[in-house]
Amino acid sequence: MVEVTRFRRKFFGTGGSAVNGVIVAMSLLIYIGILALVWTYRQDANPILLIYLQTFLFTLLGPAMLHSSIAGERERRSWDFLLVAPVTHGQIVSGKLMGAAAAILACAAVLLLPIGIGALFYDRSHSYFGASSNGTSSFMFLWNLAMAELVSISWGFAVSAMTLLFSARCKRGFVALGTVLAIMVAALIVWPILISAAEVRSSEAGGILNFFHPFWTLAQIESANTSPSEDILWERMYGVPQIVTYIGMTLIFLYWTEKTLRFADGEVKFLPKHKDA
Amino acid sequence: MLEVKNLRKEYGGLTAVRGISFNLQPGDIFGFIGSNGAGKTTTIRMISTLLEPTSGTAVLNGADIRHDPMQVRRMLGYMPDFFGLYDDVKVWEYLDFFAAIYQVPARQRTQVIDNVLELTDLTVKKTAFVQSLSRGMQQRLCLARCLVHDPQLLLLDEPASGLDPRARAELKELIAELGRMGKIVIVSSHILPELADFCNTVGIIEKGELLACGPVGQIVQGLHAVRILRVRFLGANGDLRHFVEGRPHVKGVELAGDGELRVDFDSDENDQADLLKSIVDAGFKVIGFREEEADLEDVFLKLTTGAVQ
Repeated sequence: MVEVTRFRRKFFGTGGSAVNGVIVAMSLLIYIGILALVWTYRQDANPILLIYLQTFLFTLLGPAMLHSSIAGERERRSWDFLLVAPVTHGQIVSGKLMGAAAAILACAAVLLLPIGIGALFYDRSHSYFGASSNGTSSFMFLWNLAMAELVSISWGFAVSAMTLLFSARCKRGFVALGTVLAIMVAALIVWPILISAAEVRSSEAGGILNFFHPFWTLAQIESANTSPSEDILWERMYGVPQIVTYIGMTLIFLYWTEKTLRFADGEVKFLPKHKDA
Repeated sequence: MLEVKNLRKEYGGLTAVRGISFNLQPGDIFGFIGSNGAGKTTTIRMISTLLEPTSGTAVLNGADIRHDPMQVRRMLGYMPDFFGLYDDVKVWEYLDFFAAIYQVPARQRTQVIDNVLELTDLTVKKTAFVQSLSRGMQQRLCLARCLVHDPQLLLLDEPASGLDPRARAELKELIAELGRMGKIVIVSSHILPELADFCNTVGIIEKGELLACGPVGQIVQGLHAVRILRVRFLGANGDLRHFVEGRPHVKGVELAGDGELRVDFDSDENDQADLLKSIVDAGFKVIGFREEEADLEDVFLKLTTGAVQ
């Protein structure tokens, strides 16, 4: 929770610098704006679009919170204090991730209000893009919404765990942040552009190539809402493989991070040269 | 009780610590003295379980650093020569975080934090941000962090470095108080006169080898074959010198000027008392009689070659 407190104070503290005040005010303004917009156009406010926005936020929130969580501890040399405490490396790593997970869940809870308004009032007889369709049943709509929410949250966890790994493996926090953001840009923007440029027309091939892409998955769920398929079971499965994969990735990244920290003597190489032996 | 047994650390071809052994009892304040690169920090990091020894081990109250590091960590407080404090947290939050890590029960934490803040004289700064503290206060906060779980062993690596004289004096008093509380304290420092003030045991290390270890007086005595006595008297004449030269256990006498004799004496306090009595009985007006204080700096310089800097 110290990580959360520090992050909150750094970016959302009201008693700190003017910059913090501006960030707090802007965040509030944006949130109120979203609420007002969703309420005004509630029949057209597709809640999955808000989950797109939430997923984008999570893509940035994890790296912002965790890029310095281990590298920064080494930089400010507080790392030794954790290593001499009676906690395992696994506990340290999972504790760091829990800080980001708490922030992600809090963010998801805050966005639940506009998403809920969308879920209640959205007119499912037309799609976001204006093409009319029959729409899916209320149950399937809510199911898909829940799947989309879980895709978004599990994606946030996976990105956070990946950030933690780079924080453990990089000497400087900003190097870890840069690396993670570069990977995000490559995976979420460059890769789809390359696929598009390669003119992959088969939907199966597109599905495989974009499997890890959270926005592609959300688009699939959205299309399941507007154009329900005959195969109900398959429709219900949209997003599940990705959720499982993201959770699996989270666990793998955590394990890898913990393995990175296991080399006790290896920690020395991260520390600035010390004049004493 | 801390038993350090033949502790050794090798980095590739470099041997940083070459089989160090010593024992410490509760209440001992152990001054660890050595030049830069002598192996002090490596030894302290091995005892603190931060580094795995190449061979040898240390046992703290029955818990072995190699086989039961978690148990050892519960019993030790480690303060390196850097602060490593988090910014954007308040003093009490910082201590609360470490109290939680050390599994201090939530209901006791407030009391524990208040106690360590009082001990380190930081009560007034309880709600201050860590980064707003002065260097001396940050050092004391580091020490407070080490104390939240009531450790039995404190490893303080260069605790006085960078502190002003007042902060040093306060820290010295604090460490002495911790010794009186029955904790084993290991302090490494370059400031030898300060160590001599509050350490009851010292170890001198060079090139990874422990050259001398034991009570300060014993080490000094071990180096000096004779004790040096300073005798001040009224009336300048050489009679006293001749008189003292003929007394038992006196190995040499020298006029130090200003009415003072420097006497090389090779026996204990009882014989010193007899010598004083005989001088007074002979009618000499003695106004001062003392054994020269043990000088840790002399011992250090005599034992070490300064090969590693």
